Amino acid sequence: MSEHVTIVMIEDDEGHARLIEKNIRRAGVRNEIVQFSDGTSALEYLFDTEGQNAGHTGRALLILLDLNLPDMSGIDILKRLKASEQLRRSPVVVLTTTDDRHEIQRCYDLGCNVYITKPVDYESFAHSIRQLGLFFSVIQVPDTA
Amino acid sequence: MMPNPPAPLFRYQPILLALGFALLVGVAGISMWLVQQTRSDAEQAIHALEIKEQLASLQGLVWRAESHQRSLLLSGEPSYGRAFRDDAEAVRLALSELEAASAGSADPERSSLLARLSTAIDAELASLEGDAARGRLTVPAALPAETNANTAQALSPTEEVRALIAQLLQQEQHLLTGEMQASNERTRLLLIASLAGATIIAVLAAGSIAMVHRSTAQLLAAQGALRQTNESLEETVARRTAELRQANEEIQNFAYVVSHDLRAPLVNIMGFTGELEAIRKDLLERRHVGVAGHDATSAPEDQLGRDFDEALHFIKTSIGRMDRLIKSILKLTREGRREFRLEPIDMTGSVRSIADGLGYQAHAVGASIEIEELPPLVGDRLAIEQIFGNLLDNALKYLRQDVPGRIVVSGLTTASGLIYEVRDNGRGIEAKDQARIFEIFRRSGAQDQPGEGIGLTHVRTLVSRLGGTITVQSQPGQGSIFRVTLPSRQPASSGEPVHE
Repeated sequence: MSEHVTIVMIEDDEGHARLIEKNIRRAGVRNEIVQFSDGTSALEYLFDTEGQNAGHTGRALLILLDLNLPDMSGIDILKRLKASEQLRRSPVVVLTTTDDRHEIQRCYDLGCNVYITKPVDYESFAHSIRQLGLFFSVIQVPDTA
Repeated sequence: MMPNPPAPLFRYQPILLALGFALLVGVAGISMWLVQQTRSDAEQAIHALEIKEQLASLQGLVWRAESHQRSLLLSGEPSYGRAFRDDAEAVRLALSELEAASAGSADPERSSLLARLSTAIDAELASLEGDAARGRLTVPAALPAETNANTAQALSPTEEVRALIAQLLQQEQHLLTGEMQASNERTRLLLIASLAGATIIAVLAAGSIAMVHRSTAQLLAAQGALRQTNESLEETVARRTAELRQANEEIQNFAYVVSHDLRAPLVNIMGFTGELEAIRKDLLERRHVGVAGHDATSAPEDQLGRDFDEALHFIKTSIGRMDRLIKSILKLTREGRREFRLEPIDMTGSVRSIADGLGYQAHAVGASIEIEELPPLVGDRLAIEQIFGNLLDNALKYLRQDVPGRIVVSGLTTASGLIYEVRDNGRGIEAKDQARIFEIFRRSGAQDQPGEGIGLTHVRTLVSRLGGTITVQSQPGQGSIFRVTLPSRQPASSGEPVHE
């Protein structure tokens, strides 16, 4: 994954966000990570007031998304992203505690690229995130339109 | 439910009917007795007539016997003697028949008269027979004197017989007249009794019809009430089922949300505990390396220290968060168990005092709270205070920066219940979040205010426990209206707990 890709992490729990960041870094990912702890501020960053791409043209974004946000559901953000002309090709990784079968199906139906359940056990959690980081380092991310 | 007043007529109906029938039976008995009396009157009248007839024929026979005897005395024809003997025999027979006919009579006058008649006739016949026998034996010359003497002698029994028969006839006539009068009287009584009976029957029939009509009407009313109760029972069951289903869904959702939200800090605790282990390992390695003589730069040591502090900080905050979540869940369940005390509440005063309590907060954000006239309510005071306290607190928290806050509490009474509205001109709530905000730990919009996302969940629980509903109507960027609908209750006897 090229250096200019920005990782947008939408995660309400600061602790989780720090743990994810640490483990991604351990996998050797050096990309910029922008973190938002609620849906509203994340959407403000991703879209301008007209619902358009807010100046991300030419940049590449990878979105790490938690489903349980205090102010909205991650599903809503996923829908917005996949409906957006500029951002619909940006990979979305859903990283959440939910392992509900219907929820997983729904996310893939809506165009999510990867769905990962956060393990409670920290060994597995750290391992999963490091694997994810390694995965990040090999995937191609398209530039936004 | 139909109020069941005791119907006096309904209760006395059998007694009234029994009384009526007893009267009717009495009248019938009197009528029967009168008919019986009339019949015996007629029999007595007939009997008197028969006796009169017998007396008349007896008189005739006596006359005939006298005439035949006279003829025998005058002519000496033996045929007259035979005829006279036959007549005497007939008179005796007629007399015995008369005596037999009047044997049953209790009339002492008649009996004595009959006895006298019997003696008189016996005397007459004896005298006649004696004359007849002598007439044949004695000389005809002596006859006139003899006849005279005989006649004078025979005249007395003859006269007596006539007088007695006439007396008896008069007696019988008198009896007959009496019987006729009595009979007339009884017939009149019978007519009256029959009329009375007819009247009683008519009255009874009318009364029975009225009673039947009335009891039928009562039965129909009771049946109608029963049907209504049944229908409303079905409605109640359907409503309760829907409520239960909703409650069940809420519980499932609650369990899901709670387990997720409790798991999140747990992941943090475990994660940063793991990080601490990593730091320890790192430190031990450094020390080992340090002992071995390599110089350790200060920068990584600072980094390790920062990481250590950060890990401890997250562990602490996560534990704190878990504690707060568990406390609020406990509070919610405790509220769900607390017994409500229903009492009349002056809503205008209560909500005003809540608003006064928030006065400082309102002043700090430059907002005004206006309380209109609110309909009074019968409810649990603490629950009502918590409901409106939370709603007003929320309205103050989520105002817009650019306009001065204005919060209005209004109320109205409708047929379906009491409606209270808390209206603000704040930031509003997105349509997609309007249902979510009532879920536990869920909040809407920018997260710039402190809170656990439990207030509205608590409010909804309280409102539904009071038998009401809460809805929100909102326009993002314009304001929100929280509408609480509560049932209008009659003030219950003091301290009656609400059963869910």
